[in-house]
Amino acid sequence: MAMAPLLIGFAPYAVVVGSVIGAHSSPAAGWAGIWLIFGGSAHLATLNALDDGSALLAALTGLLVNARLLVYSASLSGRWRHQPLWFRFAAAPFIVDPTWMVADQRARRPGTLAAERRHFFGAALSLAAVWGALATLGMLLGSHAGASLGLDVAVPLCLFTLVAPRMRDRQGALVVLTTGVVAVLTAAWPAGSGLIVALTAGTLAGTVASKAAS
Amino acid sequence: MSAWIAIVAVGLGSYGLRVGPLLLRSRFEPPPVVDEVIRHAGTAAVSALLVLSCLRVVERGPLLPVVAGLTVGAALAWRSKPMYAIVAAGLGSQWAVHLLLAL
Repeated sequence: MAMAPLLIGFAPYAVVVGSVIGAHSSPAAGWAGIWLIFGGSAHLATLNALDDGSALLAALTGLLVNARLLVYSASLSGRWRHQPLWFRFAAAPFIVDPTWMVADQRARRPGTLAAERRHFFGAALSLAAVWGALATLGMLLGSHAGASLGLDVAVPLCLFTLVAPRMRDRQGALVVLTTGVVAVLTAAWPAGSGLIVALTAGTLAGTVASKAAS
Repeated sequence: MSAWIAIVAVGLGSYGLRVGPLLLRSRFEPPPVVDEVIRHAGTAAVSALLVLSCLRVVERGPLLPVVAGLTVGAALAWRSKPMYAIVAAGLGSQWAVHLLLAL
């Protein structure tokens, strides 16, 4: 159930990703990327870069966009350090924005390690099933199917609910505002590099503010 | 063929990015400053995604309905309303303004 609103939010995005796969010159490889990459932004960036250049450039672009997963995984690593090794190996491919959000929220509530594992796999498998089905549908429907109804607005609407609570303390607000301003200024930069710069600037601002406060 | 190579490379590399920190954490305990940095980086990552997704829908347009939907959603999120309500109200506002403009 925790994943349900996020599924609604990411549904149009999945359809949009699917429509891009359908329009690509290698739709089979693109479709395999739904499962292998399991991340819409990196998937789209890789496909776009493939149109513009070599496989190496496309791979580097996709990995640059997915560099944020390192942050997500690092933030979960502390909470999951008592989880068995098999769980960490099996859960890793599913770590992506919505599952990280759900795992982050779940970690704030008490519960056993087994309950946390069930919760994560429930969320991850629901996302995988819905994401895969809708991306495939988008691939079959053709271009801009999701955007035509304006459903893509649901993605930022979901993200608002995660950012708003972090704005309530000074350090959090500084991180959000710094990241936001730099993200706007660097939005046109190629291959997701602006995202990484914005992320770094926000993190730096928060860390400096924490140091100053302590 | 190059598409397959790129997709598989991104898939394997992404798995490395995902699993690496989960395995390393059990071997050593990082200092508190690292936890602090990771906490801020998580907030920054979500904020960056929010801004970029807002830019994407604003670029797609039409501007006024999109801005109306996002404004209503942001206001409800600030008031700590549940995600269902925020998505429903935001989408509803967007469609309502779109309909009004079409009249």
